[in-house]
Amino acid sequence: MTRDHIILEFKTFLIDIIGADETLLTVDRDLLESNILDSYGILSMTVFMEEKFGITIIPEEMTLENYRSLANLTDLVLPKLADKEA
Amino acid sequence: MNLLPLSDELLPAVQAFARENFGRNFILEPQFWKHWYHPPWSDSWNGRVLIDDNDQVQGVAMLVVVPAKFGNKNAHVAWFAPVAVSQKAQKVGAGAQLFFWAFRSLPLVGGISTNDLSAPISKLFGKRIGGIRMNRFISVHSADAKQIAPEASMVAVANAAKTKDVGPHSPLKADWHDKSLPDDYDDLWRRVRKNLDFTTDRTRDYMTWRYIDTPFQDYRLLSLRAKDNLKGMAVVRLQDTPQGQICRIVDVVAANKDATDVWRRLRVLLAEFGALYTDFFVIGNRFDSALEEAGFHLANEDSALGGLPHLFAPMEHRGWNGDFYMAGSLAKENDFWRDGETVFFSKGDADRDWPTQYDLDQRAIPV
Repeated sequence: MTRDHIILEFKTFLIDIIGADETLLTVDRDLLESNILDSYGILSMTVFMEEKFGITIIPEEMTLENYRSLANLTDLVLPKLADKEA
Repeated sequence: MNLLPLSDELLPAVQAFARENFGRNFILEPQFWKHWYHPPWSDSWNGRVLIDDNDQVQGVAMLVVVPAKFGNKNAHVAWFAPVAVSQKAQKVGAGAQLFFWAFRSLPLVGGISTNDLSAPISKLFGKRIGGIRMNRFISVHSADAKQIAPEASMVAVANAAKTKDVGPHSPLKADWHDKSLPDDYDDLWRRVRKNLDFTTDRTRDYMTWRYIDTPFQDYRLLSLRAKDNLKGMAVVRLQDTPQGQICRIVDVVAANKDATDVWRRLRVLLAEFGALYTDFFVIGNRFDSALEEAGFHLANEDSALGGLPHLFAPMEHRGWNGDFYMAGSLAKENDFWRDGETVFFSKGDADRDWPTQYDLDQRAIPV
């Protein structure tokens, strides 16, 4: 799965489930400061990532930095997918 | 933000945070905290603290952790009690860390009657148990209960008060126990426990901690016997109000086969005490038919009888939805316990029967 594909999945989730405005979803936008993700959104995103990509997020990885942008979220997922495929 | 376990060193800052964020009724007395958040079976404080880069507390998850029976396992179930996050931390979603830590790090994490904010989160991670919720049952002993019912409930209350004859009288003999459990309580609990899959482990130690040693709350224990055989234990709270005495049955230990006799005896006894009505909150269906046979009515919030106040000190009626969720690794890995006949929690579990500001005022406890 490519980086672009993962970002597209995130965008679809944020638009369809969280109700985010598509025009705001640039790769580096701060999702927390923009009020796109709140606590419920972060937890929903976590469940989404685990179910969609078949990965596990551990509590230590739930840092605000990891969830701050689409780029950071993708950086969190990519190595897990690589490990899974290895 | 960093998530740290609650420690003696963090306690003053956490209590200062609690004073601002846990609501005006929250008790800060040291003995209350020690009792509920550092019980004898926990090696450390049961809480997690969200600290920002300036070492300021931005969120707290306090947990009431109690022994539980989960299938064939002895486990502990943690109840959120409560979780609060500063507005600053809320804005950046930091509260998620507190919930996620609990859901992923603990074996069993429960939520009863969760509020509008936490219910969606509990739903996301927890398993809502099909058909199982926290139900309220009420027996109205006197038509005078109408005085404290909202207008829409008055007819239902009056009708319920007419329920006098509910079958044969219970043969059980009742005795009060204020400061200790009867010697044969352990045998009773062993008999009841073996037929339950998921419940608070109501051992002698637990019951003593919960109902005899608990600070700022007076409970009365009632044994029910057939000749010399202990058939049931009930934990009762009698509350004097300006409108009259109200009774809450907080907990009941009884085998299913004896349940109807136990509930019939309880109903008659508490009516004789002059209580306007008696209520009982329960998760699980094992007592449903016995309660109905004994003259109790299902009285959830959407029913007319549910209009009777469920907070007694002072008399008050806040909204509650009765939802029950269970999360955590053990809950996630197993399905066997999602059976209303073998799951059992009562109002005495979690923090559902804590004292209020009114209770403290009666005792001149400073807050």
